[in-house]
Amino acid sequence: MIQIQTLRIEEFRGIRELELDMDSSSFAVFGPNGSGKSGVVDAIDFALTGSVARLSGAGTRGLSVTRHAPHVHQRDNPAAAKVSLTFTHPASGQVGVLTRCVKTADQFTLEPNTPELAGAVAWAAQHPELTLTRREVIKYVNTEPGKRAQEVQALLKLDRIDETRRLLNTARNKTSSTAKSAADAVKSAEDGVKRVLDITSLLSSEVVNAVNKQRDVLGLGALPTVTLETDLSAGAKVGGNQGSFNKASAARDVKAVTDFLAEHADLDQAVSALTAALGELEADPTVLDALKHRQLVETGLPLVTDGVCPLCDLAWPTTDALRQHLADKLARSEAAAELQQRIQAAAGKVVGQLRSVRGLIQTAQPHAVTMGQSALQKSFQEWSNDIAAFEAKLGTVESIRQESERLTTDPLGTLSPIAAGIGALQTAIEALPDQTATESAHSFLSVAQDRWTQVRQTRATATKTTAAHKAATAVYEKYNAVADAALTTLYKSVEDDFSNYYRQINSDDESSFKAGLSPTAGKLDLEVDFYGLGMFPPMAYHSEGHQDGMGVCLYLALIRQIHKSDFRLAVLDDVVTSVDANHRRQFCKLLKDIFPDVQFIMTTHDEVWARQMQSSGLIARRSLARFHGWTVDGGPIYGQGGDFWVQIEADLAKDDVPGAAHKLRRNLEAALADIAASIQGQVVYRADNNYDLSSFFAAVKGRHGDLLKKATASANSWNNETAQQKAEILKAERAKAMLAQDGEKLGDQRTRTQQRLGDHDQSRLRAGGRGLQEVPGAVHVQQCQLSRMDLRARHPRKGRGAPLLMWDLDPKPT
Amino acid sequence: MAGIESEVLETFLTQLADDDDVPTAITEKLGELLAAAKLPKPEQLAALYAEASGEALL
Repeated sequence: MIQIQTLRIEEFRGIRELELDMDSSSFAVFGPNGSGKSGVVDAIDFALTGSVARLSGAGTRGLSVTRHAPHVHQRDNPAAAKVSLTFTHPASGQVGVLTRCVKTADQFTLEPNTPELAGAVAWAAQHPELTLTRREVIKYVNTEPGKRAQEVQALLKLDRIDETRRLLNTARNKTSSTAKSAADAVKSAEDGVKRVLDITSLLSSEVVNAVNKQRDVLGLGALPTVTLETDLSAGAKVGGNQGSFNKASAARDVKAVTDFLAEHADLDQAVSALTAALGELEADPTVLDALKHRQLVETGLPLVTDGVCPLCDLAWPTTDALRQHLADKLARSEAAAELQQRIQAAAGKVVGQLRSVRGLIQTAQPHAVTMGQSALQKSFQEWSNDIAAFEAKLGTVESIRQESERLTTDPLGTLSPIAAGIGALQTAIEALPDQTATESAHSFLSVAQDRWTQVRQTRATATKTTAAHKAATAVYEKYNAVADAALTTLYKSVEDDFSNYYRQINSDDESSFKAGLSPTAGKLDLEVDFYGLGMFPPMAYHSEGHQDGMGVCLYLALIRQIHKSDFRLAVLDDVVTSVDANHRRQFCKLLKDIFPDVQFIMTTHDEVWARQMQSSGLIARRSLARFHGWTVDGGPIYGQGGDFWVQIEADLAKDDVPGAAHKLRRNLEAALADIAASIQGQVVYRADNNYDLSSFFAAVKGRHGDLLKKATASANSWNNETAQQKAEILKAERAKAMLAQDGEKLGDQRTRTQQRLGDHDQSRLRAGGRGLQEVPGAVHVQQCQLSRMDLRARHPRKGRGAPLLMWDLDPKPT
Repeated sequence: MAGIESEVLETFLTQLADDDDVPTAITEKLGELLAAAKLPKPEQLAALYAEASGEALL
C-alpha cells in the first residue's frame, strides 16, 4: 500500500517540469483537453511500475517507454526524463522518495531503502490496476463474456486460473485424440481377426468354432473357450515357408481393400457432411471474414468510446451505430465459431474412415511381399503415407479448406496403378495352388494368433488411453467445478458491492438496480437490471453515462475485493466523463463514504466536476491542480490551490477583465448550485437545464432565509439564549452579504450577467466581486436534513470554519 | 500465486484425491506441476495421464 505526498515530474510525456503537493489525500487535476493532465497519470504509473499503460498493450505497436515517454524535446535523451514520488507507507507511517528515470525504467532509487518502503514499492509495481483510464474501466462492462473473464481475472490476478483451465482442457483434448486413434486401431485389428477367421463378429463362440475347426485338422485339442490371453495356435508347429501365409485369409485381406475402394458409404457420408459444412463457410464470405477477424472485433469493441473506429479512424454517424456494426460482426463470428466446430467434428469422422482404410492397406501390404510384388508393396506404403498425411491436414479449418478439392474428388487418393495392382494381387493369390489342409490349418492358426495378439495389444492400449482420457476429463471438470465455485463466491461479493455502489450513484432513478455476474468455464457473464424490466447485457439499453458509472463501480468493487484494507490509492484518468452532474455528486459521496482511507487522484476536463469534488469534501480546496493550457515548449500552464479569487486577481493584474469575469460567473454558479442542492433550495425548473446565476441566488437566498427564520423560531420556543445569539449573528452576516450582493445588481439573464461582468472595468469588477464573495460564505450550510442543520460560518478564502451550532429546527411542543 | 488461486488449487487437489477416475499418482504429480511458477506443457500432462492411467502395458 502506498499514498502519494508529492509528485515531481521532469521532461516526461508532455510535461517539462511539474511539482504537485498531494499530501497523501485525494487530489484532482483539472484542465481542458490537451493540457497535459494525462501526463500526470502516466508519470505516477511510470514511477510505480516502470511502464506506461498508454504506451503498451493493444494498438500501441511501435510505441515504447524509452522512445516515447520522454518529452518530445528530450526524445533522444531518456536520461532527462524522470519522476519522483514522495510517498507514505500508511501501515508503518514511513515516508520515502521513489525516483525512476526513463533511461533505466526497470530500476529505481528509494530513499530511505527500508524493508517496509521497499516492500510497498514492490507491491505497487505488481498492481498496475491502481492506475486506470476510462477506456480501461469501461472494458469490464462493454465486452463479451470470454474477454470479460480474462480482463477481470487479470485484474484480480486470477489469470493463472484461466491459464490452468486452458492447459487442462488442451491436455484433455490430446488424450481424447489419442483415445480415438486407439479405438480406430482396435477396430482395424478386430476386422483383421474377423477376416482371417472368416467370421462376422467376435463372439467367443464364433471364434472358438473357427479356431477349433483348424485345430481339429492338425489333431490338436479343441479349445473350450477363448479369451484375449488364449494362444489360438497352442500345440501347433508353426514354421515353414508359408507358415504365416494363409491363402484364404490373404485373399480376404486383399478383397477387403478392393471392396472398400469399390464402396465406402461411411466415408462418403462423412465427406459429404464435411463438404456441406465447408460449403456453408465458402457460400458466405462475411462469415468466413468474421471468423478470421473474430479476435480483432473482440478486441476492438471495448475500445469504441466515440463515433470513430479505433482501428481505421473512420467517423461513424453515432457511437451506437459503430458499436452495433461491431456487435453484428461479433454475432456473425459466433455463428462462424459454431460452424467451425461442426467442420472439425465432420473432419474427425473422415479421419476415422481414413484410418480404417490405412489399416486395411497395412494388412494387405505383406501379401504383396509374399507374392513377390515389391513394386506394389512400395505403392501400398506410399499410399498409406499419403493418406496419413491427408489425415494430418484435416486438423484446422484453414487446412481443411485447402484440402476441399481432394475431399470432393478422391479423398482416398487412389492411384490407378494401385487399383490395377490390387486386382492383380488378388488374382495371383487366387491362382495359387490350394494349400493342403494341414498347411492351411497351420498358416490359419499362425495368422490368427498374430492378429489375436494385435487385438489384445490394441485393446490394452485403448483401455489405457480411455482411462487416461477419463482421468483427464475428471481432472478438467473437477478443476472447473472448484474454480467456478470459488469464483462464484468471489463474484457474488463483487456483484453485491457493484450493485450497491451503482445504486448509490443512481439512487434517483435506479434505486432497485441489481447486477448478475456468473462465471462458467472461463466466461464471465454480466447482466444488469434495467428499470425492473429484466436483466440485460450492460450495453443493451443503458446509456453511455450509465455504462461509465457501471464501469467505475465494477472496478471499485473488484479492486476492493483484491486489496481489501490495502486499497489506499487509485489514479483514475477521466473515468466518469459521460456521467451527468447529479450522478457525479453521488459518485463523490460514494468515494468519500465507502473509501474514506483511499487517496483518489483524478483527472477531468470538466470544471463543474472538479468543483463538485471540492464542494462534496472529497478533495480539499488546495488539492486541485488547474491546467489552463499547454505548449510544446513549456508544457502545462498550471496552478494548484484552487482559490479562484486569487486567479481572478491574477487575471485582473494582467488586465484580463473578461477572463476574470468568466471565472467569477462560472465559479459562483457552481458554488451556488452546490449550496442550493445542499439546503434544498428551489430553483425554477428549466427544460434546457440552462440555469443562470440569478436563479441560484434566488433559490439560495430564499431557502437560507426560511431556514434562519425556522431556526430563530425554534431557538425562541426553547428559550435558548445561545442559539438566539447565534441566529442573530447569522442574520447579521446574511444581511451584510445580501447588501453587498444587492449593490452589484446582477441582471436576470445569463447573457446580461456575462455582458455586465465582461463590460466591467477592473475597479467595478473588484467591487462587485467583493460583494459576491460574501454570499457563499454567509449562506453555506454544511449539512441539512429536514429537522437538523449544521450551520457553519465559512469564508470562501479561509476554508471551512468551525460549526456554529447543530440546530434542532423543531419548535418546542406546545 | 495469488490467494484465491492457491485456495482453488488446494481444494481441487483435495477433491481430486477422492475421485476414483483419477489415479493417486496423477493427483500427486499435478500438485507439483500446477504449483510451479511456470505451468507445464499440455503434452507433459497428456503423457502423465497416459502413463499413470490404467494398467501398465508390458
